Amino acid sequence: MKFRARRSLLFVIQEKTMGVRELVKLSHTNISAHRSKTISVILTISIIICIPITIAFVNAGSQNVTIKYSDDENNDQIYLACLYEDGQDVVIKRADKYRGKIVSYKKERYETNKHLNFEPSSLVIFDNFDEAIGFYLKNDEDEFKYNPKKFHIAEIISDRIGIYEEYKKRDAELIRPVIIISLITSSLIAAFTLAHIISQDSKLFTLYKTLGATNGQIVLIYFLYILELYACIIIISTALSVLLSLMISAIEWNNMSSMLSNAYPNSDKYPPILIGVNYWYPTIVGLTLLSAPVSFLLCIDQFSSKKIALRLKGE
Amino acid sequence: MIRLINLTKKYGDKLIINKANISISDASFAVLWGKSGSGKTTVLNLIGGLEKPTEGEIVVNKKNIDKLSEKELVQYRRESVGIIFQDAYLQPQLSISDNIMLPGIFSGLPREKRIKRMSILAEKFGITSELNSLPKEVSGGQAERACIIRAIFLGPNIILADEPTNNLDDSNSKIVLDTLDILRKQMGITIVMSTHDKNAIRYATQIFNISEGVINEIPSEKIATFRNSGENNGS
Repeated sequence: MKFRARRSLLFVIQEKTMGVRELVKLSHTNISAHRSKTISVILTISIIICIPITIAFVNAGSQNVTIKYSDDENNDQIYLACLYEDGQDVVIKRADKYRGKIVSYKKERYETNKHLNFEPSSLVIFDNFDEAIGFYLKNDEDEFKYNPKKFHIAEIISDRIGIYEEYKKRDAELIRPVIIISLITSSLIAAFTLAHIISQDSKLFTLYKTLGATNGQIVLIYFLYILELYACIIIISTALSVLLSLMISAIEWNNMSSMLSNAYPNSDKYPPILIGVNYWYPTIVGLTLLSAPVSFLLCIDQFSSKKIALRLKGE
Repeated sequence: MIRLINLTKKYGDKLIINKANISISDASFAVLWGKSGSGKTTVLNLIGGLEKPTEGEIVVNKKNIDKLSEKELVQYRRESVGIIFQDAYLQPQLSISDNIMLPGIFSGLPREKRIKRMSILAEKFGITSELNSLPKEVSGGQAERACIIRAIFLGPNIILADEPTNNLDDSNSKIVLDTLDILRKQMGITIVMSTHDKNAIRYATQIFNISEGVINEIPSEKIATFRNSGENNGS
């Protein structure tokens, strides 16, 4: 018993000491062993993944340009007309929290092109977008004990929040479904390719086993391979997306410039480069990386000793 | 000592080995003789713990192989057996030195020890100048020697060789067989080799004839006769 315990402890230590460098080296041999399959799967999935990334880049880029024009037009200030049905007290406290400056609302002065569905009691002016959006989103109802439904807010003069909401809507309508479709398609492609590669490597599995590899080590080698594949996919799809976004910028340059100049005549002219990064890019990258283990799990049964033995017998 | 006791192996309904009862002595050069598809590789896989028997037992050095857990089997493969595949199966993307060190990598042997052990063995077997080459860049004989070094890398007491001289010319075949015989004589390693190479039976201390699922040991007094008939018939 003592001997067995010592042996199993030795086994655990040995399992842990199989170096990462060696693992990476062995997983990397899969790339050269299945070069054409690996390259074609990387390119195919990169093209698929570059679609949502390009949409995210262009959307964020055009949002950034529009905001620059808008900020210039309003001296970087955001104007929120507001009314709380149960008194002005909450408006003052909230404006204070978000460092907004309260001025009295003059209908004839401010309500020129926007028809509000409430009668504002005051106008809160913000110099900072994050603070303005904090005030606008009304997520502090518990802190100030008020009813958000009775707190009316509308942006006038400036349209920074309008732009924010418009692009948020576009993101939700466009990027989300594209991401879902792209990730499902790419996961399936990766899973089928990996399953095919594994079935071709039955002899190699047997070799590794005879040389003392555990099932875990073999699985890890192929898991690292698929991670390496996805790392390449992210780099290539990002590069492709930058290229595509630049192309879209070039095509839309004149259109966008004249549209923005018309909308914001007092603003400086900014180049409409439609490449921007917001939270969607890391989200897409993260989800793509997460789909690697999903693809892997889809074909994990290919590693079973029985299946390998059957495939070897079939050869 | 390797013992197969009432061992039966079936793939589905197909009977490969039928109630085999054999014993292979320590430091023996055991040849499994038979036609292609007769079940020689299956016997090696069973002894190597790569396949489970349908019925019966495999006892190696007093351990019942078919009753070992997966972890114990891994340990058994690392410590007790070295396997040499047909056609010098080396990982084509790795250099000869990396191929040789694979068992050390899987068992977690420190890099310095792996390199030291690999260098000593490569020098002993005369393939030092081929260490940085890829398998496709070396001759069949050199690749086969690399496979032998890889098989003995962790110091097993059994080598299972699956037709190691297949596709080798006579001179390379002799080098490989001599090497295996030296390992047996100098290090006391038991060699179990499947083959239909007539040259191999010259080295055999035990010969097992496999035909239609039945394994028969050729009695020691008839080995000489079998050698002659083998050399005359080829199989």
